[in-house]
Amino acid sequence: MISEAVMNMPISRDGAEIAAVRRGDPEALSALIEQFHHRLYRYLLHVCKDSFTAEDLLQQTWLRVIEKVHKYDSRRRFDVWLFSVARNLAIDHFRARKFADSLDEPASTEGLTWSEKLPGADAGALERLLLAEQNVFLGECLNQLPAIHREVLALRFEEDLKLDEIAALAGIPLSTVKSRLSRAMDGLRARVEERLRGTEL
Amino acid sequence: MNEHQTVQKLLPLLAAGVLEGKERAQVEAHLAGCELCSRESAIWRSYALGLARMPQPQVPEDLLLRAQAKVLRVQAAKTQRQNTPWLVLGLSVFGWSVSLVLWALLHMATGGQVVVLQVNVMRFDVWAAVSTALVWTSGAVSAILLARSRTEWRDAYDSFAR
Repeated sequence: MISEAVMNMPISRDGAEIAAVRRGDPEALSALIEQFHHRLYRYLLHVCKDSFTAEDLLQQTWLRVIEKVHKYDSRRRFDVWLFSVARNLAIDHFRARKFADSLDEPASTEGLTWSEKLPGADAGALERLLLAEQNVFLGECLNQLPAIHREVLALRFEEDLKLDEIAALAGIPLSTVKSRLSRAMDGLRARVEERLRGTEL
Repeated sequence: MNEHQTVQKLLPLLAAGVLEGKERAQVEAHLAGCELCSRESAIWRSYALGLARMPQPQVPEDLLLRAQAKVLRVQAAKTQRQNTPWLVLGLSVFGWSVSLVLWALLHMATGGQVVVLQVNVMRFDVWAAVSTALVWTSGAVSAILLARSRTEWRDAYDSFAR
């Protein structure tokens, strides 16, 4: 399911490079791998939470890319297509191992917003955290979220993808991305506040 | 659901920078006159800021090299597989052409009579049979040598990538 906005994007700046990869140019392929190496690893690490699995899926992603690159539509952003390839492999990985924390399963925390779950939470909590340079703490809370929530937060805040790009990548409607992002942020805030309360007790 | 609740549900999306159009205008208009929701919005913004400033994971140093080596090896094998039928076809055509030209030249030079073991090898059917046998034998030997060199090359690449 690819939204019209994504389909109508101008030809990617990677177009020439992709054409070379299609022709089997090893230098172009090598450069492409290097260009997206860090982002792809970071995305997979967010999804899997395990560096060995992330490494394995990263290599599998590139193998899948050389297999399927002739199907890549150059009107789409290459990074969005690349991440969707990686995502599908991650889903296969979760399914094969019957992980509960799968990208294709619905979120376990539904419905209530943060404020409904945690009335009276400390309004200055995160500011204190940031001042104390406790991003690691935030990362730990992030890792407690379900995979689909970690994924949507990573795609929005680290990869800076727009909602329609995330929708195209994940093959889900825009409205689902919106609600997923909202629930992911609610979930993160809930975990931060829970841990802060735990440390204050 | 009252207006506060409606707006507060949208605040995470506003902080994430994905709220647009009418919804964004509605939320911003409400925030201008509501201190409670403005405080809540500030909290969400700080979460968004925290997420955007998350420490970057350390990528294993040799992962790029290993990934490139593995992928390039697979691609090279794929390219070789794709090219092999054309290579075989080209070599066959070349082999047959050489054989035909050689037969014509020898035929002219010898008048069509070269007897080996009581068989006239200049007869076209005999010449074709001998040529075919030679082409297939040399093809098989080439394939074995090529496979050996590929294996050696792959082993060298593997040890380099490790």
